[in-house]
Amino acid sequence: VTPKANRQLNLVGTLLKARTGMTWHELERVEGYDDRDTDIRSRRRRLERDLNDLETLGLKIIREDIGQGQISYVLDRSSCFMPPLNMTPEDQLLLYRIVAAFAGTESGTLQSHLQTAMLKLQARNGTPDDMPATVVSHSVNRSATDAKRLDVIVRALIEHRRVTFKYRPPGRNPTTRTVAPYSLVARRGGWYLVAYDGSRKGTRTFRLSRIKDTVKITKPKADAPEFEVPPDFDPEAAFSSDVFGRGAGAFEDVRIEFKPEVAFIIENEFESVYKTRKLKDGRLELTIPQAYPDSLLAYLGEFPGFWRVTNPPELQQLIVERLKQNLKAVH
Amino acid sequence: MQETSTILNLITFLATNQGVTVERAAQAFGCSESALLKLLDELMMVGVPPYFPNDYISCTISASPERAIFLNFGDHFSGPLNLTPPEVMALKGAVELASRRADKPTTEALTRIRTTLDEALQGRAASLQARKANAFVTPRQTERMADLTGELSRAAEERRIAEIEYFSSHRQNLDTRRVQVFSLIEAGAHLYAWGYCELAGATRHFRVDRIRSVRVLDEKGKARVPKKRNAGRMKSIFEGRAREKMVISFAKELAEEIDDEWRDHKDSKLKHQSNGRVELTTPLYNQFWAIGYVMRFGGNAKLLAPRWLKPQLKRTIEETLKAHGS
Repeated sequence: VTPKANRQLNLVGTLLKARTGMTWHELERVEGYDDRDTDIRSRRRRLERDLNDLETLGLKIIREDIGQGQISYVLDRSSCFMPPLNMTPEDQLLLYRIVAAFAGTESGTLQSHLQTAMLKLQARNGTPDDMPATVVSHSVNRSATDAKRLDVIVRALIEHRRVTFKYRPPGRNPTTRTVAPYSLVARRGGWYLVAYDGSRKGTRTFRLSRIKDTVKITKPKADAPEFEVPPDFDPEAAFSSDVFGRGAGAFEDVRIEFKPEVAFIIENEFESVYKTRKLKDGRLELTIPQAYPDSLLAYLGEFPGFWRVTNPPELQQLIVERLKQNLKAVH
Repeated sequence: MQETSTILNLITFLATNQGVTVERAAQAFGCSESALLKLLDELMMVGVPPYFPNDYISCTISASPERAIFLNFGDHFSGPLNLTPPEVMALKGAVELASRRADKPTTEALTRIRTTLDEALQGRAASLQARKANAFVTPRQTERMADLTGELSRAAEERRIAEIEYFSSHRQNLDTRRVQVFSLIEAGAHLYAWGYCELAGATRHFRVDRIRSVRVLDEKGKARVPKKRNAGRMKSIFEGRAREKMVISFAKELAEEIDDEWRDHKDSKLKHQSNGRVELTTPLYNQFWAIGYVMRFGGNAKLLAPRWLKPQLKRTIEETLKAHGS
């Protein structure tokens, strides 16, 4: 154990055991603050730093001015310990299994915080006698190249730390951005970071695959959170993209017919997300409010001969033309 | 601070789980038994003034085969510490990420879990939990996908045979297969059911969104879960290591766009040619994605490698044109 950890643990133990407020004169007997050869102001600053650290760990310290320049330190037991969780054994098991489903596949910041949360939950509600084998494994990563950047962003997101990275918007040169991450939004094409950009005074959406090189936490040694997410922040509203794209140049009211063989695949993915309509002979019509032809073709390439764009006619014509050119290029 | 947190968690865990076995405690801590025993040694240093022997925490391990751990003089650590804000965020994130794949009963249970966590949290953790926005936002699966996932999970848990109707992208047809599902694995944007397929006589991965229906039979599966999962041709998707390279030559008009899109991809190379064309070499993870990608660019992109993909691309274009009456 490092001297710092040992000192902090002794401090917690002492405050917990005391149950009532303790003054500096009582706390300076605790190992780690009792080095009388050191200046008293340094030792008191050390105590304050340690108390701040303990607060970051979830402990609540109440400081009360008791006069004559004296402060009484009380560890608020009622908010330090996790209260009983009224969970059915089945729900508890489900929560444990969800955590296990992440822990089994990858290691990273999310998993490490889940591990300690799980430990506390088990300390509170007991360990399950018969933990069934995990049959589902979840993954946060959408692609191998995203993995490292994603882990740093996840850490920044859950610990409320600012990050900095070089970002290249389509068709423009990369610039260095320093942002406060508010939310990670997953879409078919990958992860997007919705973050507050102080220099632009607003939230912006960043596609992870467009981040150049690495993502860094701006103050890696700091422990305390650096920002709060506004209570009215809505990631869906702040997010500025869609499955097949939206914005200038996108076609509107796009309708695609699918043959019966693959109709269920479209329903599996898009039923109630987009409008679907069953046609005679089992075909299915999918209506997408907005789409770029590139994004559509990238998706529809998986269904050779099983789809046909029916609306708008300009899009249909463009796709046929493009396919004809494709065919020439293959020969 | 990490060290303080770890030992504090260990003390509170042992104080509230007196008699827990070394094996179970190591499992809960996510570490090896030897690592746990080392941590137990370290916590003996924790004490309170006036530091008489009984003021130091100690622990004893029973001589029985179970090796039960008993914490002494640590009564003041009467319960687990409250969850920290990052732990709350991580739990919220995990529940959110899991709920997108959940069937109806699981979704209801997850709602109950969220409520319980909300009620239990205090201080800053509580204010974070009460926040409207989630840190992780994932698209909800359709009800159909949630039901499929639920049935496949049930088949895996109960080790029963599942009869599935599956559309094979490789064969381009729908057939019925009897599969003993071992597990469900998320990779990229998709969920796969991994199991023993009687039709193939081997283990296979089935993309769940390609499954039309699942019927869990009463029949128990007899196949043993292999110790190592053979990813087969899905290896590049699961392991992120492609076995082949794809090479595409782009027209001069697209050079800037392609350069912009690919120049930061570490595993990819761009070669600018004297005639203005640009040649991209990139790992091939998924052949269907590759076909869709080439199709995006009309005549401005020419697939050079792998050669075996060319006939497939040609067939895809011809069949799509035919479907459009051309």
